Amino acid sequence: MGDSNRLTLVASDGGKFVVDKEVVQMSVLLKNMIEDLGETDESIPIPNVTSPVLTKVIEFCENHRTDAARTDGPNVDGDDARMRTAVVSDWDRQFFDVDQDLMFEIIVAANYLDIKSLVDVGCKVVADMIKGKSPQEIRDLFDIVNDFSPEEEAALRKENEWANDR
Amino acid sequence: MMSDSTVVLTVGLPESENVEDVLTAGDISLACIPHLESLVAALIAVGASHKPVVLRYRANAPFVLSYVECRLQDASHVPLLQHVFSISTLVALQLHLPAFGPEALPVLYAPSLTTIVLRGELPCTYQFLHAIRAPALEKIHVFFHRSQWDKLDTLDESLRDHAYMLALAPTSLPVLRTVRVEEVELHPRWSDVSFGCAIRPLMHIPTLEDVEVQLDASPLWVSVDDLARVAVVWSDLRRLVLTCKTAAKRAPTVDALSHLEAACRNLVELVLPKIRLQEPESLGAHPGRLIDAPVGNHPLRTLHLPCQTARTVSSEYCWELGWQIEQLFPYLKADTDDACITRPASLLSDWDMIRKGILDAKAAKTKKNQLSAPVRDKAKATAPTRLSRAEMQSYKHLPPETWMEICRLVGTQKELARLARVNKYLESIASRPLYKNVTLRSLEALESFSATIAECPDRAASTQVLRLEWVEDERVLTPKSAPRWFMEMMENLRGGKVEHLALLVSPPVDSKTGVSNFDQAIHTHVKRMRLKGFTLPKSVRTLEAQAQLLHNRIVPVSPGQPLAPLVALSLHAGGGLHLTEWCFPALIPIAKTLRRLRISLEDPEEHPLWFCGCITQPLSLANVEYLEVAHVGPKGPLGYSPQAAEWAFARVDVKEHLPGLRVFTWIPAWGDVQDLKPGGQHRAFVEHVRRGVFTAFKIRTFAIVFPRERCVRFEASDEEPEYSIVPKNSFDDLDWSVVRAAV
Repeated sequence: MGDSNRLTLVASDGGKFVVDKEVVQMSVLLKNMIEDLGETDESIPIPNVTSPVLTKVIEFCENHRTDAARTDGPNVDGDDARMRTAVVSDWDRQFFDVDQDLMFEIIVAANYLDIKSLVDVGCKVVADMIKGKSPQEIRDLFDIVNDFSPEEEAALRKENEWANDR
Repeated sequence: MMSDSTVVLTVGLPESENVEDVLTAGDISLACIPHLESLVAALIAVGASHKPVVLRYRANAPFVLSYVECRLQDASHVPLLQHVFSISTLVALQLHLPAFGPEALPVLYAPSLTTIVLRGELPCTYQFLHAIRAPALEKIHVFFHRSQWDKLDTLDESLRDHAYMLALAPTSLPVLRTVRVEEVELHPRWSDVSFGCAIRPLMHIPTLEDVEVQLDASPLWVSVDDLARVAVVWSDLRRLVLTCKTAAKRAPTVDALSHLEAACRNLVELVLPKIRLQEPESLGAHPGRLIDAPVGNHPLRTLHLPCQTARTVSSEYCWELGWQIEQLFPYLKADTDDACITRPASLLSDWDMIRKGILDAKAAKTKKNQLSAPVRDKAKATAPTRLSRAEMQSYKHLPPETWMEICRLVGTQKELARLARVNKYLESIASRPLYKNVTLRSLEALESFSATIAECPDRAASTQVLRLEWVEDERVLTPKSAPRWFMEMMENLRGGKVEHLALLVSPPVDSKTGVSNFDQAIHTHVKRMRLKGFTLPKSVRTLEAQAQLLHNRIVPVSPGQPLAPLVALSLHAGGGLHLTEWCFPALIPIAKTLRRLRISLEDPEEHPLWFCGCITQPLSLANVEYLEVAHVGPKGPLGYSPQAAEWAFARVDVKEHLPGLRVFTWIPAWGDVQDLKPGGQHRAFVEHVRRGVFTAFKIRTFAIVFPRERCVRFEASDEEPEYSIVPKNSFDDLDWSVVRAAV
C-alpha cells in the first residue's frame, strides 16, 4: 500500500476499501486497533459488515470527518433534552434515505464499530419516524407483527392510560 | 483432547559440544516432521539452547501437528511463536510465559488456533493476548500466579500493572467464547483480588459466553459495579462462575442479580462467592420491594453462593429475598444438590435460608396455580409475556441497547406508551423509560397511575422521578377521592426508588387564594383523617413542591418511620415566603440534611433575599450550601426601595438561618446581560444586591443567571469585583432545569 496515512478495510464479503486513517478513526474500535498495530500495511478485516454497509459507513465518516471535534460536545454526550429536539441535518437525512434493512444494518455496523455520531443520527432518524404514529402505524412502518392478544393489548392500554394524557 | 503420543524436541546450537544442545526429536528425524523447518531455523538463529518446545501429535494421525507446548524464556522468544502459528494444522497451544517488560510484544497471527492455555503471571497473559490475532480462537485457559507487584485489591489504577489497562480487541479475537482463569498460587497473599481489575482487559470482548474465575489462595472481591459491567458487556453470557476458597469481605449487593437478569438473558449458571446482605429497617409486604424484580422468564437454572456460609441477617429477610430471587429467576433449580449445594457447616446460613425462601415461593406458586387454574388461563391471556434475549436480538436486527436509545430519543411518555403497545418486544424496551420518569398532568392520570402501581408493584419499583404538574381548570371540580388516589400512590411508592418528587399542582390563573383545589383537598383529607400528614418515601432525595403544601401536610418524618434524607428542596411560592419554623414545621426534621435550596417567587420586583428579612424564628438550614432564588412573572420596571430592602436585610440573622451558605444564585425575571450596562438601573440594582449579599453572607460566589443559560458571576473579593460571564453549569452540579428536562 505504501501510504502510511491510508489503510485497507476488508468487509465480510471480501470487498476492500482503502480509506484515510483520519476517517477511520471516527470508529473507536478501529482507532484502538490502529493504535495497537502501529505502522502497518496489514489490512483490517471487518467481519460483521458487508461491502454495501461499509460503503455507507465510510461515506458518513468522510462527510463528518471534520465534525470530530464536535463529537465531544453536549449534543452527543447524552443531554437528553437537546438530543430529543436536535434536528437531523439534510445530509444525514438523505444519507439514511435508504431501504429499511440497509438503514438498520448501518446502525448495527455503527454500533459494532463504535461510531457514536452515526449511531446517534441513526437512532434519531428511527425515533423521528416513530414520533406521532399510532401503534398500528408503527407496525405498518416497520412491518412488525402484533403479538399481543386483544386482551393483552387492552390490559396494556389500561395500564399505561396515565401516560396518554397530553 | 490431546493425544498421548508426544515428541520432545531439544533445540540447541549444532556446533555446540554439549550433546544436550543437539537438535533431536526423539527417534523421529526432523526431516520426517512436517512444517518444522522454519521453526528450527529460527530457533537456531536466536541461539536457543533450552528445551522450549514439546510437540504432541493427535492420536492415530501421527504426523498431523495439532498441539504445541512452549516454555518461553523471555520476550525475545515471542517472535519464534510466529513460526509455530504458521503451521496450519495447529489448533491448540500451551505456553509458559516469562515476565515481560512494559514494551508491547510483537503482533502474532495465529489463524488456526482454537484453544490456548497460558501459564504465568496474569499481566503477562494479557500482554500476550493483546499481541495475538487469532480469528479462530474459541477458548482461553489461564493458570496464573500473582506478581509480587500486583495490586489487585484497590481501585487505584496507578498502583496496578499497566497490562491490566490493555483492551483486548474484539476484532483480534472475534469468536472467543470461553475463558477460564485459575489461580495456582502456592501461598496465600492475604489480599483480595478484585474481579473487575483482574478481568478488565477481557471486558472488551463482547462474544464471551462462558467465564470462570477460580481462586485457590486469594480472596475474590466482586462488586456490584463489576457485575453491572458484565451485564452490559457480556450480554450473551451463558455461564458465569466466580469461586474462591475464601471470600473477600467486600461483596456485591443483591442489586447485582437484577443487572444480570435484565441484560444476560441466556445465563443458565451463576456462581458468586457471596452477596452482601443488608437488612432494611422494615420488611415490606410485597416481594420485589428490595430489588427490581419483574416476573419474567429468565432461563437461569443454577445459582450458588458457596461462601455465603454465615448468618448475618434475619431469616425473615432471607426468606423474602428468596421470594424475590424466585421472581427474577423462575426456573431456578433450588431443590437439587447440584443447583444449590449446602454444606453441613453452612446449614442455617444466609444462603440456606434464602434457598428455603426460593423453595417456599415455588411451592406457593404451584399451589396457587393449582387452585386457580381457570383464572391462570385468563391471566396468561392478558398478561404480556416477555421475550427471550435471542428473540430480542433477532428483532429488526437491532440490539436492545440501540432500541433503548431510540426510546430515549422518542422522548415523551405518550410516545413511549404508544411504542409499548406495538408488540411485546417493544413493550419490554419502552416500559423501562416510561416508568422510570413519570409525569402526571391531570387528576385522571393520577387516578390511573395510582391504580396501575397498586396492581403492578414492579412498575412502582422502577419509578425514579415522579412529577405531578398541572394547572387547574376552575371549571373542573376536584373529586373527593383525589386525595385517596394520591395517598395510595405515595404508599405504594414507599418501598421503591423514587428519588425526585415534584408536587406542583397550580391553582387556576386567576385564583385569589393562591392554593390549588388539589392541595386544599389533601389538606382537608389529612385533617379529616386526623393524620399528621403523609410521609415521604424514604428514597426521596430531591423534592419540588408548592410552598403551601408543606404547611403541615408533608410529614417527612413521623414516629417509628425512617427519615427521608432530602438533600435538595425547591419551594414554589405564589407571593411572599418566610422560612420560619412556625410556617414550615415539617421542614425542621429534614433541615439538617438539606444541602440545596431553591425558592421560586412570583414577585419579580423585590430584593432576592427579601424572604430572609423581617422574620423571627428563622428556620435553621445549617448545611445549605447552595441557595437559588428565581423570580417568575411578567417583566416590569424595578419597584424596589433600596432603603426598605436594606433595612430588612440588615435584620437577617445569618448565623441562625443560613450559616453554611457558599453559593447564592439569583434568577431575575427581567432582562438579559445587556441590561447590565453601566449607568442603567438594573446595573445599580445588581450592585446594591451584590454589596448586601457579600456583607450579610460569607459566601464564595454570587451569580445572576440570565436566559440562554448564561450567568454573571461575582466572586468574594476585597477588591471591586468585575463580573465574568460563564456558563451556568460551571458552578452548579444540580441544575433543576436539567432535572425537569429529563422527564
